[in-house]
Amino acid sequence: MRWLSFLVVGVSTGVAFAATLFPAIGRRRSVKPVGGREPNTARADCHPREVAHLSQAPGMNELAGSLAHELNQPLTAITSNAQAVREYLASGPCDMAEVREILDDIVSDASRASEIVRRVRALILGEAPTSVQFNVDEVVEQALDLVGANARARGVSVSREVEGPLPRAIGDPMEIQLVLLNLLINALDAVEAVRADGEGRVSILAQERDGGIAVLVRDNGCGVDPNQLERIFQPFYSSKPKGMGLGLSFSRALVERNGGRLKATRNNDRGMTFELSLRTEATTQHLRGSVLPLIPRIYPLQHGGTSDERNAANGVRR
Amino acid sequence: MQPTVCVVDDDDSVRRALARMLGAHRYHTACFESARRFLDEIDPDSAPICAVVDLQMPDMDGIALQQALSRRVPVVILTGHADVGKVVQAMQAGAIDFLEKPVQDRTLLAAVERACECATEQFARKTELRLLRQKVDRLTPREREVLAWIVSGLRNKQVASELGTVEKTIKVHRAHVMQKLEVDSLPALVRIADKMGMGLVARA
Repeated sequence: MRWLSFLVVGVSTGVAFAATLFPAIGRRRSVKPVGGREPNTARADCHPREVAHLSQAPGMNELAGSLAHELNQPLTAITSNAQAVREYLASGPCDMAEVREILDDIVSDASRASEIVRRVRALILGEAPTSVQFNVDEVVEQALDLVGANARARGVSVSREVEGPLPRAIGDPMEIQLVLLNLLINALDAVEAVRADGEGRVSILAQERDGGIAVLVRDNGCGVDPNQLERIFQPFYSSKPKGMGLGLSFSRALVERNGGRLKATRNNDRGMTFELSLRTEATTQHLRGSVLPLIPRIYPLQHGGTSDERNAANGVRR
Repeated sequence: MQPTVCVVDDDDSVRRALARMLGAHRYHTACFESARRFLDEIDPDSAPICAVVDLQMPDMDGIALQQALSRRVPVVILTGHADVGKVVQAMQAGAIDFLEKPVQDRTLLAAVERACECATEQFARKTELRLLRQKVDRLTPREREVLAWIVSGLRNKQVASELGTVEKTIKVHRAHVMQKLEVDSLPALVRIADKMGMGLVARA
């Protein structure tokens, strides 16, 4: 059976990311399907290097194309089958066995279509993500590794700060990494739009705040108009010429289903700061067992985490 | 001879459904699960065929298939996602039509009908050319030369002087040419030469 795999797209196209997709991805040259496992495990197993590989995947346009294609296949089959039966019936007595066969096909294609819808929906809104404790530094570092080459190519310096030892965050580290990637790419786009080579700066700071963790992604780029601040989180709103306007809405949805928050503020001088708040053991203590049942296990974040392999991952992106 | 409509789509269910719909409207259909398979198995010279092709297929997509066919088979492209660039490419490569999935039967049937007409016409032209080629192949090199001069408007006497012979010989050659090509008039001869692209000889 075909099913969804999880995908990061479009770092190279300037569209931050879009997570989702379908079986169809298997049919596209540049993307590897994660075959044969349950969606959750597939996601949890998603390796930093795979992210690097997937982020070279086709852009948002292709992604939209895949979604349309994948949904339109069963719809086409249903439409044509129904039209065939209608024509058979209109042209006099017909073979009932054949009609039954066609109807069976229609039913099975309808479930195929609704399965695709269900998966996309589950991904965007729904099924509880893998909730584990993880080290935010490591996730930040991996996200930076992944955008490093991109930033150098654009002549933007990216700095990073971690304040003191941080408590472990709770959530799905893969999803948080996707969000950080998206924010970093947006920041790079924003500084590239207004800054001459070498003047563009993006910084990422992780700090403890009220027992939780805040990750701030700051840039000195073009910024967002004050009255557009909330709109940027709405689906299909984009300030980029080629943007589809899904990056930030997806990001916010992902953060929220991980029990965190994502907000945007304008810097006093120039540019924007995006603030991502994450839960920790301390902030969820009083919630335990009531709102969000947690599965406490340590997530093996550093698969292949030797610096050599990370460099290799970077190399893939270059 | 009724053309065969070839449905090329990697999705089993879509392929089956499209073939059924076309079958219900009394078209002959054949299904192919990939562009490669289609190219390997068809022979557009032995029977008239047209194709309904999915744009997005692994390995070789609809546009690549169209290019490989270089207009030998009329093609209707179907896609789940119309991308302007692709539409332009497909139309430039001579697609009969470019339709969005899911496609309404009337729309697809109209496109398929045009593709079939085109296939029938192409096949008839190819068959005629093949038969003519067989007839022309019966001519000797000298007879071909004579034919080329005659159809360029020269009289027997002039042809004889061009070829350094006598009018009587040219008359004999001319009779043989008419006989072998199974025609009985000069205009018919000219039409054949034209169809076969037998270039007129420049007058010296």
